[in-house]
Amino acid sequence: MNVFKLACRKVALVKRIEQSRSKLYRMALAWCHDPMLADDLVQEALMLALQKIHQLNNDAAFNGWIYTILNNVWLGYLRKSRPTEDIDNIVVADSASPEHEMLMVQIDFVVRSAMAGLPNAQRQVVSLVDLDGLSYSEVADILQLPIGTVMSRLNRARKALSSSIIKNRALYQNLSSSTDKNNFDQKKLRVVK
Amino acid sequence: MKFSEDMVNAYADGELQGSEKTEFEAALLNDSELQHMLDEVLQLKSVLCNAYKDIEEPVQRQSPVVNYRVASYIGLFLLAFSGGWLSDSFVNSTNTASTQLNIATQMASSDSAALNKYILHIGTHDNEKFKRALDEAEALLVKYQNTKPVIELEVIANAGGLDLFRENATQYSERVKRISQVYPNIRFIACSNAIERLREKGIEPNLINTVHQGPTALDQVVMRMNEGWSYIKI
Repeated sequence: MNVFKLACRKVALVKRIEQSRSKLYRMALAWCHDPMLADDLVQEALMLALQKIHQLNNDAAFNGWIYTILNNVWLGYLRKSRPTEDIDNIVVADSASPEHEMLMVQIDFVVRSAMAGLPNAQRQVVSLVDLDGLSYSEVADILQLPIGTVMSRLNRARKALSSSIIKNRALYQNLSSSTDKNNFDQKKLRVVK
Repeated sequence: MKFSEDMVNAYADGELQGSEKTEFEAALLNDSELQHMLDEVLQLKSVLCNAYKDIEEPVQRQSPVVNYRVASYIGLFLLAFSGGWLSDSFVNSTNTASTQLNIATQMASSDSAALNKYILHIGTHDNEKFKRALDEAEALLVKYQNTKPVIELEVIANAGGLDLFRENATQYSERVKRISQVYPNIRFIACSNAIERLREKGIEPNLINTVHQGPTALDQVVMRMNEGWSYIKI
């Protein structure tokens, strides 16, 4: 009977791993801000999870376990792609292009842009806490940090996000009002012609 | 009592308990600055959640688990009765020379080989791993060629591992073709995501003609594992 129970557990775990794909993708995107890269990171993480499934002894620890794997894959990617940079300080996007400014027509873009501008160490903490509601101790386990560090990074991340969002929204509002003015001027010119 | 920003965050995140929480809530009633700080954190949490909540994966795929549920239950029963699959269906083929070609031996002594179905996965461009993947595959095919049930073997490649299945990308192209011709019960499968990635870079994958294009490597591995196949990571 125990054998049967263990086999059932394994089937359930494989299914749970597969069902984690969407939430891992959301987290990976919040970390790397590149849809294709996020997809690759998640695939790699899920493959590793399937390979290491026997290491998960406590089903209640599933969330922490799977995010730890994703974090290791992400850090591995950063180490490989940017070997000379301090991983904690890596930012993943430059929001200075005009195209990007035009894209910021909605608050979601403003928020994602602000997230992309955070150093990696802060971005990971705030996304784990706010996007998936993980506790500080779970985040500390996943990222291998003391809880005090989790709290201080979270505080710094939130302050930086708030100021960046306020700044970018103001920028967008100016941009949008100047675009409206240009449209208005063009209309007037057409009428004059 | 003056509360720190960390405490405000902790309250907003549901981390305060007992007396700390009670004291914080009591202070909130009369402290407008504290209320303002808390409102800001809660608003930020809300906009962050909203900014990411509708994000979906680039490609929505049909879950193979649903399609193969019946097969997986049959596999489950077979395996449960054979007493295997619980510890031996995941095998990691490591890099050390001493473990080369020992998957077949491991499997021979393992009850998880009851179904005689294996999926080998290779995900990096590494000539040594390419060689080992093909060596392992041939070793399994030779070892179990006369056993019942008949062995079924899939070699799936994604990411850098896809090069193994591309014409002239490695020194192993001819060997892949030869194995396909000699052994009818092996399938070489290329991950659709890896193919797509190459095309996005403007590179035509130019797959060897005996290689099949599958779903993503992950989908294929999950599907096979649900059917009770043994997963071997090279």
